[in-house]
Amino acid sequence: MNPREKEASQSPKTKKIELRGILLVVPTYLWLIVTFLIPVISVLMLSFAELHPVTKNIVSFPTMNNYLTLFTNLDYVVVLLRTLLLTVAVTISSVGLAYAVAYFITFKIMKNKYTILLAFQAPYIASYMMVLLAWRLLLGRSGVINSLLMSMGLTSGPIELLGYNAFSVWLVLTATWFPWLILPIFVSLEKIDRSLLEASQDLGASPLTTFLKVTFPLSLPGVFVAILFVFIPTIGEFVAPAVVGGTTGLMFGNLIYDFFLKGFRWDIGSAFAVCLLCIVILAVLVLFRKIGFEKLMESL
Amino acid sequence: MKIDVELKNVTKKYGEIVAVDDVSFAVERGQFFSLLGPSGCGKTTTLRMISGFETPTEGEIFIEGKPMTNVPPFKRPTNLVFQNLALFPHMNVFDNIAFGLRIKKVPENEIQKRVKEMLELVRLPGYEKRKISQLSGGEKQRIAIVRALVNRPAVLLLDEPLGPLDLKLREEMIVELKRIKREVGTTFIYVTHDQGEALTMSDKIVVMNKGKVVQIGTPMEIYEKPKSKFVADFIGGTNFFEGKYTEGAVEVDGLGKISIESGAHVSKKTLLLSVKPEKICIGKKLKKVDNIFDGKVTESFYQGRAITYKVLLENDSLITVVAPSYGMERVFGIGEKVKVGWNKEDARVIT
Repeated sequence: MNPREKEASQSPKTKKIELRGILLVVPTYLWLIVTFLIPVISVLMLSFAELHPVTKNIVSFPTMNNYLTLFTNLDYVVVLLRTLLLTVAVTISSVGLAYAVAYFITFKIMKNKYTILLAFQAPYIASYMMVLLAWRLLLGRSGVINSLLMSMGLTSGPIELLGYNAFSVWLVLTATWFPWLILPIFVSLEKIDRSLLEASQDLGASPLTTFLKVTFPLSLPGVFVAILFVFIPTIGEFVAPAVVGGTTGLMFGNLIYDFFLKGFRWDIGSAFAVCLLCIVILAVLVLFRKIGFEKLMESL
Repeated sequence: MKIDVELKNVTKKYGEIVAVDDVSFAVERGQFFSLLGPSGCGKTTTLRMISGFETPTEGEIFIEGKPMTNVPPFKRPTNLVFQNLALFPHMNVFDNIAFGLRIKKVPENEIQKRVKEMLELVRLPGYEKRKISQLSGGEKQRIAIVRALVNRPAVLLLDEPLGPLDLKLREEMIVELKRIKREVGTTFIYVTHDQGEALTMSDKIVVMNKGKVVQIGTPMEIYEKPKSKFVADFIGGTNFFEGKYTEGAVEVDGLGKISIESGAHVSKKTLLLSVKPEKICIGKKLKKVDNIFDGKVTESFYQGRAITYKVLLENDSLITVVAPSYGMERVFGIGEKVKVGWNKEDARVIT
């Protein structure tokens, strides 16, 4: 802040404006406290409590038993690892696919850029559930794709990979996420001054070197935003695995869902949810460290 | 003299629009060569064709004697200083300057040495670790120039790099550019719409208009001996007089005779004369000038170094007179009757 700005911020008039600004954000913060902070704190508290399976009364507090349940049961650990693996795979494939499309729209399309960009968002007109059910019909051992291939005589039996399994979850999540991720990547690519790319070529860099040394580094903010956009919801995903995951494509979100709504073990479910939350916070912090928070937000 | 860059009948069309129309010129090694013209005259397109970002529709460009068609920009022995400088914002000063050298796989210790030399050349030693956003306008300018120069190009191309600078900084950079040019000796091709910059720095100027070359010459030739109405007017502004030639003078309707230097002019032929504003003297009484006319001051602008007058002559034509502010009799007020005059060698025949 230069001295002039400092002076200005101390004048009574600016103070009034500042106060008005605060009043503008207060309702939003209140709303967040009620709808977000309170539930999160309750879940956090619950994760350290042990509830009576029938009466739901608190039996002991604080206790690490819920967390022990997770880490001592190999089945749960396997699901957690699979979830992490699937999330990373979905993130890489959907961001990669989105990058290719965004790059193409930014640099190769001259006319009606924004219409084409918008057209990629068309799938979101249909509800998520409808899209998933459509996928359920297509996939599966005796789904549309497999029966079509078999009836055409291209394969003798069903392709197992296209059954209800982890691969299908990966396929479906990648397909659902990537159009949305085009947007932040497009924005940061579009922001790059074209003369920088020319300067790179003028200094002797081939188009590939120019991409690696100039275009890609400058588009990183958009890539990081895209990673956040896909990583956070995917790690907690439970609908897609429920619809096309079968038994081997189950994700951690399904466990939490089951503990809360089927087994009525809110305490264990909370502990699982807190674990997931910690992973997300860790991932976000790593990304923010890699590239400044302000810089990241600027690209939005 | 060796020719570094040669354009032979180069034309660039964008659909129906002809941006560059049959342009030919040759740039000698070590010259400071300027492409001068109003915006939209095709000078930047010409420069971009030399650097390889645009391909000529017709004609051929030779750099160091080799034809450049089908040679992509990253393989040409030219380097360009961009209009907006185009410094890489995600790299510091060192990495920006070293960019080209690293691509050519120059050994790291050699890179260190050459970057250091370059920073000394533009008097910014110790700036290696600075971020681009921390530099002032003039500093960015210098870094952009050495980022190109460090690659030792056969030709350095400059696309109006001084445009965004304020007047004082621009004057500083003009001196700086001339010095850099002298020290490195590389051929410079400089694009500008500013005739002051072009006249000050260039060894040779190509004046362009509407995609065509209208005149090639030294700054003095361009200024003193314009070959067309456009050049006379574009370079520094001028006053035109039109009339019929009769015996060593031009008869202008309502004004009288303007005597000119003897030349092979045909009698009764209409001639266009150009008289530069600073070649005209103004006063209550004028002596020792060949042509003297009565006029009335209609406007006067005090500009420090000089005073610009608009003077209405008896034939109702308005002329511009620039009088130096030293040794003036006095400042003439609006409406005052004055005499204006110039010597016959200062009335240049255009057509």
